Amino acid sequence: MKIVPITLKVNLLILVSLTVGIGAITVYLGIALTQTIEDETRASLDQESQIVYEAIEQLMMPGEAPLVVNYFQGIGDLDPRLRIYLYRTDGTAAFSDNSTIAEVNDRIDSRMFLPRGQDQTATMAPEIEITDAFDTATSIPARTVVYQERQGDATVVRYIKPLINLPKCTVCHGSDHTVRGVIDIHSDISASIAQQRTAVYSASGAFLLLVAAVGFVMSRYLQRRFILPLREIGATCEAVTMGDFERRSRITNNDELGVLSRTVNTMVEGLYERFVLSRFVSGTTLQALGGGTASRTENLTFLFTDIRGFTSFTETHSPEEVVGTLNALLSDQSRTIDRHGGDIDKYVGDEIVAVFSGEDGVRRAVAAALDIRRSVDRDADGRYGGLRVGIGINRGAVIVGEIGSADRADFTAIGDNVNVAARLCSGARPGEILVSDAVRNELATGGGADSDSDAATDADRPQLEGPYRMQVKGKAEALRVFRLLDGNADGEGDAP
Amino acid sequence: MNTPIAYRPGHRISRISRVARRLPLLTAVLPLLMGLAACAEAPQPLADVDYSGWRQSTSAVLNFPVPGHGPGLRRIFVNDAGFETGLAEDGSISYPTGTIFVKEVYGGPDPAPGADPAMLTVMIKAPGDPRSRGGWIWVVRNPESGEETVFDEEFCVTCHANANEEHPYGTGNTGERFRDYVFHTPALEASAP
Repeated sequence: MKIVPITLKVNLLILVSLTVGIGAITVYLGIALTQTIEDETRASLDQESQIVYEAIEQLMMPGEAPLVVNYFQGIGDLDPRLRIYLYRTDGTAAFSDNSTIAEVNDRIDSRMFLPRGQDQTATMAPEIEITDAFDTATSIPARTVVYQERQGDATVVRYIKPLINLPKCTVCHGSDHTVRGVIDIHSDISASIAQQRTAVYSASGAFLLLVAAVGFVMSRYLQRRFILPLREIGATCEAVTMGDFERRSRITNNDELGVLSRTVNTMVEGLYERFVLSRFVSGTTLQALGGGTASRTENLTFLFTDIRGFTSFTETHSPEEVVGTLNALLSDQSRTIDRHGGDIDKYVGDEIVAVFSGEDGVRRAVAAALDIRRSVDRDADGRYGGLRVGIGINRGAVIVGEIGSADRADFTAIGDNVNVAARLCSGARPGEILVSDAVRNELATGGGADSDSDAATDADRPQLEGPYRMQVKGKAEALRVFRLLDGNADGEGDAP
Repeated sequence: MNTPIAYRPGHRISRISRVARRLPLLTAVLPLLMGLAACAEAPQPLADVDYSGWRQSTSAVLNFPVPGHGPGLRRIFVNDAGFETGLAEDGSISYPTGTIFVKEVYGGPDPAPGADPAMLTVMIKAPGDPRSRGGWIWVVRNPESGEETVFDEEFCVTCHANANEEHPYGTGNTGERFRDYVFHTPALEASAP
């Protein structure tokens, strides 16, 4: 399974959370800022249009309407970003000719307003395009239209406001029309757009910096508070897996990770105790400690080994040499038994009682016995002081259960078949392996072989010699026993 | 490229920012609005009033052209609340909330007897209504179809604001008294010699 580091997940979570959270706030602030700028621009335009409108009204009433054009030009001179034009409803520039003056003079039946000269009627406004916006501003009901457009490199807001033929205007201009023309305001908002853009860029930059800074701080905090403790606990577990029971998690947080750390340490201590105990307590006992201890009958294979001549060895050697030699023999035999899947049930002085369970228990017990004999007889390192072992193997039904007192008990096996194995061991001479008829039958039928060994040939099977008759204590009839010769029952070269 | 945007008070300039600004709100509110719309009844008409018993605000024959209403004959009716509103001591007048003026606008200056008006323009005094301008809701009603349009912009109120200053209609308001955006004031006509 592909491992995705929790650091990556946490950092991703932080990044997404910050991006969404702070990003939303930044976008909101950016929009609010843009809105404020636009509202200010709009309010300014509204105000300007009202001022212009009022000026037109005030100048028209005394008949000085043409001055409006000069007024517009003056405004444009003051602020080049603002240009104001006046158009008739047909799109021609107001006061570009004398037609309105003539019309008014006819209506009031006088020549109150003098026609303007050619130089005065010069078009003061550029030709306007008749657009939908213009039509909207000049049709009934007339509406002010605001829109934004590009004029070269500039961004311009067009404010087209209808000039209504008010009742007070009808005296001169008549009542047969409602809209006299439009006021066309061009407001260059390029600077405002640039300001908005700068604001958005600044907000975005600040946002990125903020995300990076907060993300870094949060990542470091989570790393320190969560990731590193988890790694420490994981390292402790990994050390235990590798057989190091000395390592302990050093996390002392007052949170769930601290609790987990202490729990793991407690667990490691328990495992260590169990590990140490396994050197003194048989596997079946340990298994029973972890599972049920109910008594039952099982078919098991028993292997007994005993050191021959050990008593005389103790008389001729120092205690240190005796204990060292004994431990070397017991340790090496135990490792061999363990390697073949056997379970050390107990040590009795210089004797080992081992149990092999399972269908192929006989095959593994025989293999272990052969390896032990081969190794001890060879004594390649000279650690065994010339001592040799006798071995007995039997298989059969035994009673398995908790044997002992309420204060101290072993989970072990008892029964006649256990005693037979012990007797075979007792009867074996140095370097001799005696097996029972039951073992021989298992080997003969191949029942003691696992599925991979079913195809084994007779040459591969252990060679037996016998039968011999052996009278043992507690048995009226002599036992049929066989001597196990060296063979190819186990992998060669596996020194104990 | 020109991108016309119909003017509304408070409208923003940038369409993109306007949409972006409202998107979260729309997303949240839209289902609610749809639910409410499904449950809500159709909006009540504003100017569907029976003015047959109302009195005319002026005895003048208004068959001359005026900007905004054209050359057709106009007959103006006002409900009792408006008709009975008197002038203040300084000559000004303010109509109470609930006052309604209905102006029949005919297709020509001399319509045939019994002809129906082509259009009704209605003023409803409702200062607190967000659609009101100058304290009035300005409504144009098609008497045949019943379709109504509220003019919540500057068009109507800009012209009628001239009623509060000197103007060529009715009394002309040479004293420039506040006349509450009404050119033909019943109280003034009643007080005329």
